[in-house]
Amino acid sequence: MSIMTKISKGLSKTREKMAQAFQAVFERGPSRDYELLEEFLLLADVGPGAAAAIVARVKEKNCPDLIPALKEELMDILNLDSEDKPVKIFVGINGSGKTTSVGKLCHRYVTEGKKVFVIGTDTFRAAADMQLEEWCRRTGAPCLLGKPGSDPGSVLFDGLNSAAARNADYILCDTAGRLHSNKNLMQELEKIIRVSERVRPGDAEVLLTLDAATGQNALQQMETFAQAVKPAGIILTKLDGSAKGGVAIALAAKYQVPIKYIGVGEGSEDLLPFSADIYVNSLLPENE
Amino acid sequence: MVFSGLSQRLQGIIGKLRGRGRLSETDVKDALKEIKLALLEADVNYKVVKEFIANLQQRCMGSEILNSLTPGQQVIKIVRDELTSLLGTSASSLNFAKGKSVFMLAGLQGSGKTTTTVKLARMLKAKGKKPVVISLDTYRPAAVDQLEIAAVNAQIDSYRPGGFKPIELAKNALAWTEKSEHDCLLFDTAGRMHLDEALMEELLQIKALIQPVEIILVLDAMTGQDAVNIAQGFAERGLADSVILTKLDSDTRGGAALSVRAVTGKPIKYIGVGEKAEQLEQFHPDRMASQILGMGDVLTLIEKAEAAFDLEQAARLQEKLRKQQFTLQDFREQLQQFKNIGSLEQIAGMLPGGAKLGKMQFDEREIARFDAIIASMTPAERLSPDIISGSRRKRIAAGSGTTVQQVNKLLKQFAMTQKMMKQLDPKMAKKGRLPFPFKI
Repeated sequence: MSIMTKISKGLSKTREKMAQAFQAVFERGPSRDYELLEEFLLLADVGPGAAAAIVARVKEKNCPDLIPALKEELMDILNLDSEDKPVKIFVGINGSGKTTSVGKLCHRYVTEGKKVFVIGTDTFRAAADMQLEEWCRRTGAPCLLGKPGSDPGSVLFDGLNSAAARNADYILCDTAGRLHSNKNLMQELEKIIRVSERVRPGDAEVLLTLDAATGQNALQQMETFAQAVKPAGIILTKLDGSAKGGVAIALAAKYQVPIKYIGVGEGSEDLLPFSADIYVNSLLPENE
Repeated sequence: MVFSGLSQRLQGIIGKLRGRGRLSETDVKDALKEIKLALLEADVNYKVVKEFIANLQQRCMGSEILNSLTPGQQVIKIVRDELTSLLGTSASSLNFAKGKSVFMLAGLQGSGKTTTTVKLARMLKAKGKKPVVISLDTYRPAAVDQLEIAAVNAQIDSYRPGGFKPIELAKNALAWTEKSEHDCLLFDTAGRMHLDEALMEELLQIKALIQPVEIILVLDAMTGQDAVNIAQGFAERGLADSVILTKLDSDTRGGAALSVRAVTGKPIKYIGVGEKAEQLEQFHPDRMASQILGMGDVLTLIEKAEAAFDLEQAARLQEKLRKQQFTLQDFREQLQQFKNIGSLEQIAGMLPGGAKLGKMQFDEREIARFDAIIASMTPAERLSPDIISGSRRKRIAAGSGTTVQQVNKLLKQFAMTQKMMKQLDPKMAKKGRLPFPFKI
């Protein structure tokens, strides 16, 4: 299955809903119904601030057709440069899909013939190490998993050194889920990043996993995580539901953080590189 | 704190109206517009917001407001009424069956089902029930282990049935529970999207087999507009009788809570407020409405205080208060009890106007530091802090890993508390209502 069809399939539910919403816009009369456009962005979790800004810019364009103008606007926001660094540290709140994303990305790299090393620093949640171990068993990637209760920073230190000894191309590091409002856990995360900077200066990027169903709280999450560890990219997970992940658009607009990957299902292959073009086109109905 | 962001916004908006002698139609309209924005930022579903604002508008534009002498107060009352009717009025607990009560927890991936299953079991056990937790999650790697380990940590019984498919597991588990002494069976299920027809069908089959007295939908409180679709997806298929909201210890504005009840009519029964097994609380919609409007949730605070304070200790303290012998040792005990009620932020959120304390960061470690400092004192020093000289301060600081300044701070705080205690009416102390050790 090509990437395009995969994403389209993953987002099909989303698109159906969007198409219905747009249908409503057109049925209700002139296609310049900006209020409905805003409503539609709000329902996609883009948030009142960003939605108002986007609608204002679409208005400025004064385009006869709403959808192409909106597409253009969204593409402008979402097309951001992103770097690829060998050490990837996955952070995010509980249940956002960090471990699963590590597993899927590991699968992707292994399939591409890359040497991957996985480090599990979630020493808090029950059975977190077992969950990651299972992913590594499936993909055959070597790993170092911290024992329950051990210090995440020292696990990372050991892991980075073992990975270097094995000449790994990519090092994927899972961390424990933490609410951004928990000060102590955020400090723990800062320490993890300090360790990585000491062992591999400039080689690591922090990836924030974000559940597509998350609402405006994602802005607070980003704000706090940005202060602590400066995420270089977002992994938007669970896009195979009815959630549209629109808050990622608000994040991209406000923080210029690119979405790097999207999760569209439960299978090992269901983590795809993000493409603004495909995402926006899957989200909105075809031009008529 | 739950809803604190939302309450701050609403309090600000309403505060502007409060002092006004007369309200014009534009005043009300502007306020409504701001309320609408605040609700949307809090992730309340767009359609719910629209209806809510329409209702408010209708009531606020009536003559009862515009001609009232205290129009601001009237608006607050109306907003409160409407909020309460959105959230539901009374708290509800779990339903139980006559024989063994079967509960099933369902929800999306990562919403917190497994953690909640253990929390719920722990709560049932504390109420004298005999719960057992059983995982039917054969999909996510190590999900079964997670439940088992979490159960062991919380001293809850768990059972691991044989089999490969969830329905098989359920069958085997039922056969086992026939003979076991447990009266509450809690089934944890795999996370699933409400759009996944195959998995939803599987859930229906499990339901038909285990016949739960209640299916509890576990929902992440940080969910945005989609919360309504998710809840409806489960409720429409008869796969949600009640809701537990999780991760409310984050700074989410919790709009999902407002929407879900309004759209599905399913009550929110409990809320998860932390990672620990005991951090599950009953949801009180009426109190929540007050809290959102900054009227505080003193009832919950009193209940928590009653649960946390040791009666015997309280009696002893009362005696000491009467004799004015309140020592550092007592101060330490009191701090400990204070900590048992909840985090300082949670407590502040429950006090009227507490949300105004806003982003002020309470340092939990401060209490731990005080504890360490007092622990480094000799019994004589604890009894009479006056003898603590400069060199003693140095020793105490070194012993507790703090600085002399911090020791001074504690002594000052203690002196203040002692003064506060002396001013107390002894009659009040007799009722067992303890004052807080320091002002927040």
